[in-house]
Amino acid sequence: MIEQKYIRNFSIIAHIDHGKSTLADRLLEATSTLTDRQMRSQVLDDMDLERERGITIKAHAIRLSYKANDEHIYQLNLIDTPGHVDFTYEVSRSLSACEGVLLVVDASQGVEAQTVSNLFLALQNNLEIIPIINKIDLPSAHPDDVAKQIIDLIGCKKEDILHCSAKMGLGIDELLETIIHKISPPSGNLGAPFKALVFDSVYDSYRGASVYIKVVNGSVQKGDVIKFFSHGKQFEVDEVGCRRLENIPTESLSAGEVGYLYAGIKEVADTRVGDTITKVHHPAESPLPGFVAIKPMVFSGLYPAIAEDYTELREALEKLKLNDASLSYTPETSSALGFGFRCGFLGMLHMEIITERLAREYNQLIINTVPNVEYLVYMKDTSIVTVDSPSEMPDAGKVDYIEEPYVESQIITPPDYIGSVMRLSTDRRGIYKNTEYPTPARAILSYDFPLSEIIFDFYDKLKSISRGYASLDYGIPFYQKSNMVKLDILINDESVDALSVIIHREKAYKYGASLTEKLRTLIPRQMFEVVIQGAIGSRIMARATVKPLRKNVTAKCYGGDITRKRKLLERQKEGKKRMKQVGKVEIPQEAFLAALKIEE
Amino acid sequence: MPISLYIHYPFCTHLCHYCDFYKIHRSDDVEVAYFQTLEIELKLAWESLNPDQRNLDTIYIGGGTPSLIEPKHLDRLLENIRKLFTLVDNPEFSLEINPESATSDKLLFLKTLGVNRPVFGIQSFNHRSLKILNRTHNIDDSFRAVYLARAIGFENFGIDMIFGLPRQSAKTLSDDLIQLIEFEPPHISYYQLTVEKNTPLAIKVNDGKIKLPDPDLTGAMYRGINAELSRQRYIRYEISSFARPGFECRHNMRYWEEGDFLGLGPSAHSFINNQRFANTSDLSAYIDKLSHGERPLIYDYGQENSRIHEAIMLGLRTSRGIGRQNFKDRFGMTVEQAIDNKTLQIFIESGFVDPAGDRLRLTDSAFPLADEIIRRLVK
Ligand SMILES: Nc1nc2c(ncn2[C@@H]2O[C@H](COP(=O)(O)OP(=O)(O)O)[C@@H](O)[C@H]2O)c(=O)[nH]1
Ligand code: SF4
Repeated sequence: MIEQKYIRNFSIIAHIDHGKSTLADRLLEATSTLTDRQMRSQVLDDMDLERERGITIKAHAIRLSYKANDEHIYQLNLIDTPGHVDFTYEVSRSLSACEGVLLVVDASQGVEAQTVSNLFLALQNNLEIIPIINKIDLPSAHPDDVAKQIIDLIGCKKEDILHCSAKMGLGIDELLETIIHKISPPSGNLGAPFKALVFDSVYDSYRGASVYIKVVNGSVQKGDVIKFFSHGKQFEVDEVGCRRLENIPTESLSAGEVGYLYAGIKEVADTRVGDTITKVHHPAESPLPGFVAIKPMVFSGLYPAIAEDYTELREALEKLKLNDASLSYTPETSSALGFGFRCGFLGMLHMEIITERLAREYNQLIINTVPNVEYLVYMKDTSIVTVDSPSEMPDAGKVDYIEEPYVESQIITPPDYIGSVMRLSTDRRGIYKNTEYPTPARAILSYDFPLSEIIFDFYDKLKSISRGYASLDYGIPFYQKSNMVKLDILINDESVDALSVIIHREKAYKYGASLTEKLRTLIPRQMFEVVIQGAIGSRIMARATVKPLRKNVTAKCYGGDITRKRKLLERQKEGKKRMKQVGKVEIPQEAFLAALKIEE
Repeated sequence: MPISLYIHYPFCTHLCHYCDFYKIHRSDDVEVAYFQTLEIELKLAWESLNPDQRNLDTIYIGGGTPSLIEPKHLDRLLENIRKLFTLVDNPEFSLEINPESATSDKLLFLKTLGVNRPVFGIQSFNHRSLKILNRTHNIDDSFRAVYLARAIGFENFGIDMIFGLPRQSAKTLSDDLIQLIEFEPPHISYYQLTVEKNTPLAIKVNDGKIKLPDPDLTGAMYRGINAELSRQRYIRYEISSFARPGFECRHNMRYWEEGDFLGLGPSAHSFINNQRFANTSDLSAYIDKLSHGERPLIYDYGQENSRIHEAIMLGLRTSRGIGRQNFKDRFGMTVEQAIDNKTLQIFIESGFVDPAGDRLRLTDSAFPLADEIIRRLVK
């Protein structure tokens, strides 16, 4: 059993592309954790999709053995954290398993908002921060300016900042020594009842969930019966260990250690991030603080492109859910799209990832409806209804008022772009609070935004108006009164539920006009005139028509070549399956997808 | 039951810009090789038929440009056909003729050979349109061809026309129609110009060098043609086929009503014993295979419901529609069971489909939208 004073648990905080993965590689190399053959580049991201997006979604912990200059062997646990706004809670839990963090900043880019927000989480968790300027090999590096930003940010001394090039392997040895000296060892109580923090879990179809834990007090080993504080379910441990690239089973995990555990847990939903586990015999009295059952923030209807694929879609979601406790779904039906699911996601990125995984891993093409946040609808009869789908919106006549989620947010931008950022923010109904200038090169603008206005394309917009320099971060939502309405799209007088949206009244007109116009170009001419209308309640506010088709017959069905014409027909028939029928009108999938891309 | 025979003659002297039939430049040597091979194929195909399929009631020689065939080859071909097959009384014998090769000698020869339905590929009477299509004939050729056909005493003959031509307007179309009607051909095929992939026409259209009339205008043209020809006592018995009563093309009806037909020559299609197959569309492969005693066939097995799809598609393209009893006999289900019923109801209510009586058919107003309707009806 290792003494806690030889353990160091830490994480890396970095903006995307600032070099987190490369640095992790170097640490693994320097500690000979992996043989060359095992050494793939950037080992911490091991899902293809994550790699492509450059985002580590699922945290992993990897154990390094490091023989320090003092001749002792140290156990270093590097806990990886996701790097996207959608996953703030997960980050905070991963960080609370650490005693320190490496703050990595790109020498040519400087500090970004995402880094700042994760840094706050680290500070709240009382972690030691080791500032690192990476990529000092770049000709465009301006380490002195970046050092100033870092000093402003964490109030360290200039000498405390390490200079590295993860790519060239510069500064790695010094970094390892600094980790040993500056980050404090964990200070758990080995004699106290077992208590451990769950900071991640991954589904394994043979063995059940593999649960990543940080042992705070006591120890755990095979055969122990454990229970989760949040739901009280009990499981018998059948393996504990640590991870290098593969799992390495160990005798036990004891106070201060980070590792994994298997206990035949069939559903990852039972292993919620931030939960505390203890043993059934001699249980700990209270759980660790900070557990929040995470809630989805973005909701969208997911429908199979081809109705017959419904069952397959359900099975695919079931499987995804096994590995992703934050995904929620319930069956729903739409008159236009048929049978599908109302799904909840942590954010847009999460939604995109799920949609992409459905396509890639499960071959499921889906249509998703315009994503929604969750509204609180206060009824005249004083009841409160939560609404996460336009179809659930009660009749306007019965509604007293509606509250929508807002978030406090910070935008960091070079002063040059303040004007554009403010215009964009006003356009997104942002409520301005103040501007701070921590350094001459950076302004921090604080706003309260309606969540719905920033979760969709705000980030991309922000990047494009600031040539990529401005960045955004936001907190946990709170509710505020708002003038929301339900905008319906009618096609030949029939309301197409899948195209309805909940939208702020001021924006409804423009949105309705551009969506009806877009639909006009996407709905092919049919045998009848197609009238597309945007309406709030019974008030029509936008209208467009698709002229009827005058002729569609290929005259030639020449000679005996029936095959060719029939094959064409059969191809079209396949295409028809992807059409959705509203009354007499066939609507192609693209029309539904277009609604997702409407500029408000 | 007698069957139909189609023979594909794959040579032209000149290649039209819109054409995607299988054809190559004609030369004497290759023509000889082709006819030698055709003879082998005829024999092999004949062997594969049941005795009762060795009767013919229609023959159609198409191409290519069959009016270029050396008379001696045609003589010999017919001799062989007659040796092997029994021709029923009054068979229909069509042969496609390009106006420029319609001389009185040629037409007289064809008549003595037994051809009783020459089909003239006139396409348009507009000089500029013919140019754009890269046809070789001119308007005088067309006049001469039709004049000779009458003088020589062909009671039945057909004219093939094309509408929706580049830069065609309502006016130029109506000029074409006036001229066509003056000729009073017993049979008219009026096709819409289709831009087929990889043709010179397609390239020009893609490059924007040629602009086709928009779909609303071609729709109006199609309606105009229908209206005018019906005023002139023509019956539209299929989407693009018009005939004076009694002059419907029996050969084409055989295709559409899915009777047995045998196609010979490269790229020719056949439907025998409920199986579709076609010859390779490559003359050298065709010659090569057959010289080794093997037919160069490609089978079309289709999907599970392909025969049903064909029956619906072909049936609804004819004015008579789909015969309910025949359909039921063939597939063991009613037409209604074989198509999308919800859509059918919509179409019946909107007056596009007439379900009354023993046939299910499209109404007049539905014909211009036939492809759309059929697409939406098939399951
Ligand atoms: N020049 C230079 N490039 C680096 C350095 N560290 C990382 N990179 C490059 O920066 C890009 C992003 O690095 P990566 O480790 O994937 O960043 P992550 O998104 O934070 O994990 C990659 O192309 C790396 O090769 C460095 O020290 N110097
Ligand atoms: S003559 Fe007939 S087969 Fe030959 S190229 Fe012209 S259209 Fe095609």
